[in-house]
Amino acid sequence: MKTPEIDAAVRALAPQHTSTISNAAWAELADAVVSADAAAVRTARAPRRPRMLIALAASLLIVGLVGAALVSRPGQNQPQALSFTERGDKIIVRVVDFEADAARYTADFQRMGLDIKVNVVPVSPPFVGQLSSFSGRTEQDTSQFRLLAPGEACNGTLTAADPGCQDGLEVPKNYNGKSTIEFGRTAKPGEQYYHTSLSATDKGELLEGLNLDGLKVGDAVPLVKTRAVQQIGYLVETAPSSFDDRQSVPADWYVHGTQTLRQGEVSLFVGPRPS
Amino acid sequence: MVGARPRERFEELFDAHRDAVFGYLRRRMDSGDDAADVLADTFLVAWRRLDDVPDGPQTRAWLYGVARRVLANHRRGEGRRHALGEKLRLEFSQHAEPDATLPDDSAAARAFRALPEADRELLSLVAWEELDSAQIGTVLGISRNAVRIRLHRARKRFAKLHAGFSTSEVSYEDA
Repeated sequence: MKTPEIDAAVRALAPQHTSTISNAAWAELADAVVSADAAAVRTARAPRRPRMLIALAASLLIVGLVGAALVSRPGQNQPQALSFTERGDKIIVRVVDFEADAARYTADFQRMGLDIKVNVVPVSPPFVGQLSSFSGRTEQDTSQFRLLAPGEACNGTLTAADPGCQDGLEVPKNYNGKSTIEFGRTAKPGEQYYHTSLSATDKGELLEGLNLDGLKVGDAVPLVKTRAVQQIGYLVETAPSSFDDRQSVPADWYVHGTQTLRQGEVSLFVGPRPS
Repeated sequence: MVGARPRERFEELFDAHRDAVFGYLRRRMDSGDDAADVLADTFLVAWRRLDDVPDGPQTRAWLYGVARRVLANHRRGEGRRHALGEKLRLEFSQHAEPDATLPDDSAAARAFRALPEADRELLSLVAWEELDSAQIGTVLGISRNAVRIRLHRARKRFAKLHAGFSTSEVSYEDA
């Protein structure tokens, strides 16, 4: 797919709204902003539209420690891949078994009455074991979620250093949406990452710690080769946001950035001038 | 613009960009009622920081950037209900219910939904809001170069997902 085709496909997905707002209503808003300013603000949020409640068993598992989540339940011959903890009107979901397959995560959500499907996607090393993204049919499906950072809303004395309190997801108990979340796994050789760092020099990536931006290609490549890199490619911007893949470029060109999309493969963004 | 009276400058800015900012929010929110609050907050920020609002093509991008941050706060439950614009709110809730009631199952729609939020935002800033790299940089608070690099990656991920979904229609089970 070429850039114009991608943009056209995305353009066609723009939600259409046909409402027109009267000049009187616009004028009212403008007046209120400049004259009343903050004084016109009430602090209480409007109650959100009522949502259909999903019946959850009263005996929702409350997990104090990761180990507790590994207890098998009747009718289940595998330990849970996820742990679920009630916290007020929310459920905190955390990954217990990083090696579990996607079907087990999905089954765990289903047992909780949540229509959440889990996909496991190949990612670059720093994203392995992390919940990397979520999507739904509409914004309402996903706006009810919140991603939790390691250490956030942990049970008891668990901290970001504990395996049981890594990335998590906060879901309302009465979640009525249908969504898919993505979870990162180690990529196989040759497999393209679904998620990778902004730069191949970021923490955990192939070129971690190197500072290549602004160097000439001839100076940068020997540094790249000190790492476990099997293949180096070059990306040259030929039009705004449009890049050509090249196998080689002049040694006196400049490095503008780096990325890694597969194990052992690095691409250098380059151009004839410094960026 | 320098030297214009604040109220006049604000009204000029408001009239020129209100529909665009409203459109930006409506394409990213289900509820027209909530969009009215986020819109009010966005222009309240613009009014209070009028001296910071850039001129020219960056004005709209700056407003989108504010709208984006206000929307993020709103989604974290930190939004506010305004007494501002009750007429506006009424018109929003009467006419602005979301059109799409069924999910679009085309390969493009599924690929788009499967992207990380940051990729979706980048691609929609190009395709829905028709911004260039410099304007997107203003919206997201990053350099033009970073925009180009991230956009390149987002398009690559979209193309890959699209290709995957295009060849797996038969096994799709969520219809």
